[in-house]
Amino acid sequence: MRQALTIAARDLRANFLTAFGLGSTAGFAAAAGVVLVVVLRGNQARLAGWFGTLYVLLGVLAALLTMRSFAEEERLGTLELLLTSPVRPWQVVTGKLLGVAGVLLVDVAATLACPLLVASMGHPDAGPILTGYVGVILVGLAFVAVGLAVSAATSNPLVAAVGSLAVLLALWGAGIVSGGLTGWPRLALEELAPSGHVVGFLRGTLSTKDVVYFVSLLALGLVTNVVVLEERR
Amino acid sequence: MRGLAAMMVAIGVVVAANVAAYGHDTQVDVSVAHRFTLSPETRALVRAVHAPLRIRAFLASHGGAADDARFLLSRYTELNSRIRFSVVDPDAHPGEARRFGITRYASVVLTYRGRRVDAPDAEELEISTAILRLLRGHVRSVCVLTGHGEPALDDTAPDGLSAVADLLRHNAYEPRDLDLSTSSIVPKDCAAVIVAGPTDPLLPAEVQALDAYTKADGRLMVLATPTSRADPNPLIASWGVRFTGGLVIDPARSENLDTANVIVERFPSASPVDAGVSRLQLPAGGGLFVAVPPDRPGLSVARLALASGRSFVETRPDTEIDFDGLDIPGPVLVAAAADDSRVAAGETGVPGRSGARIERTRVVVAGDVAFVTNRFLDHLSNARFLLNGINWLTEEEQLLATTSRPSADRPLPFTPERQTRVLAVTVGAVPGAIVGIGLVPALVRRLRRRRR
Repeated sequence: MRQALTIAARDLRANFLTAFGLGSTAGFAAAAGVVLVVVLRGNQARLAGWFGTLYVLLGVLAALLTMRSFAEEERLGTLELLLTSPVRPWQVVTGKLLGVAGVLLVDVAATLACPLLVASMGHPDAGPILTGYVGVILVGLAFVAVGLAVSAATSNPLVAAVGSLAVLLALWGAGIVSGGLTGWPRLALEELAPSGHVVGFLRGTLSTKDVVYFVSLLALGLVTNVVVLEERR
Repeated sequence: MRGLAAMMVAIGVVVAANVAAYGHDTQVDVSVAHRFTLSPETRALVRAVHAPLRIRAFLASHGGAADDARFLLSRYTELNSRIRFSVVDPDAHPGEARRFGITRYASVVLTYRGRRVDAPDAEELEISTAILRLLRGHVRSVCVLTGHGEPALDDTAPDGLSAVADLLRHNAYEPRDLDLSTSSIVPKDCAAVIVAGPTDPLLPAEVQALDAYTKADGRLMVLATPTSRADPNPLIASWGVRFTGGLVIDPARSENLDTANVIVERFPSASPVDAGVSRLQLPAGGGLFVAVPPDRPGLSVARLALASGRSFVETRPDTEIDFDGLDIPGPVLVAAAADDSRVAAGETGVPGRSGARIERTRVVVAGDVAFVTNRFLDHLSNARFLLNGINWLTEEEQLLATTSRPSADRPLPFTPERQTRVLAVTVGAVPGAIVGIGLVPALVRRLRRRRR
């Protein structure tokens, strides 16, 4: 675990020492603010619309944050060094995940000003805000795991970002496609899409099936990541 | 090959975990008053649905209300697959809205075994109450007094009551005319009697018949009107409410420049009649006052609706509309509900009624009838107030009382000043601080390099 933490700390430091890392955090916070203004034009102290958009933005953020995790290492030639070192692939993957998760947490913390502002102006229901942030963490980690898996499979950061977005869009798209179906195919596609699993977070409820879904996505992303690295070793 | 096997195992575990979670889903609701967790009463009710039950929520498809309705209604369908729902935008599907007679947003139509009951909002208590009425199956009669110039139930003109008749039919009531000139007693199957704005005086025998009905566990709604020669006080005075006559004037809360077209925003009672009622429009109404006799311990009167503190009753509306010494100062009471419970002696020789029993009379009085006419029934919460009143009279509000929840409305007027503040903090200050904090190490490094 120590190796994983070392990798995480190195990635975290590297991220915030670059203009890209700072820019993505500041940009995410600003985008959250713009979305908040649009949502509040409904004259209601409800943040469901804001969180809903934040989940979509998290997909983009996860793709941007993870695109360089492995692809950049490979481009610079440090991935080979990392894989031939006595560190096991799962330790590398855990370290990378913790590093990006740290950045993600800082990005999410930067949006806390939004609900605080709404609370200072009105009386929002605290429950959906709490579950909304639980959702942000779960959705963010799951999307990051998907992004890391895609990043491990390519040496081009741009391809990694586009690939991650394509996978996430395909998952969201499953929910849209399900609308035209009936029976178990509809149910299966609805359950496959993240869109159906974030609704509870927006309303102030936490259900085991939603939590299990995002934890599953996270686990599947990490296993895929480890398998890809094992194959490349 | 090993990698492929690991992937297959991982996918299998993940699918199994999700299927198990789907089948044994548990939910924690941290929203205020657990808005999205169905109460035990509702869960029991939903399990008793044994035939297809269709719920159509007529809501604007955009915005939080439709999303909330979908989420809440899906809780019902999860419990019982015989329940199906759809959220219909009346603007996008005007034909369907017209087919169900929907004239406003936030109407929910429930149909079951050929019966229909409407819910006034897509909230649990309203939907569950509607399901309860559908399951009960029986339709109760609401008798509306005629023969004294009252607006008619079949009159579709703006001053008619056809919208009231529709509202009652959509809520498992059968409205019917009550003509006391041909019969001296109120039929026993009248679950409630409405006296809606008679313009001509009632005959003494009619007053006597209504009084006898009310005193014998009766349920009476009196909608008085100041533009009438009929005095409603003989019907209501025994129940601690009196009609002042005159015209309620409210310079602070009225529609446009018509100070007699009063908007009521004060509902001080905890009565179920006020549940979900936010504002009423009472055009040309009279005032009420409460006078409970001290020797009636079982009688309680709830002040349902009050005009603003600047309102008053103009006692001579034909000559002037100005407050003077002859007028009654506000805040003017415009609606009240009386509940009289008393212990009655048992009846000898009647099986099952030989012991003492509780008798209960309920009376709802409003100083206005125009607010329920076709022209005004759909305005503000007028229809909700009328229906709540009928439900309370007929004791159909029981479920409503047990699952009553606070409003989901959370107004936040987003003024330009607030918008500027939000933008300044979220788009200016926070990103600026992040960039600033990030630049500090770079500046420190540069300074150190220069010193060297």
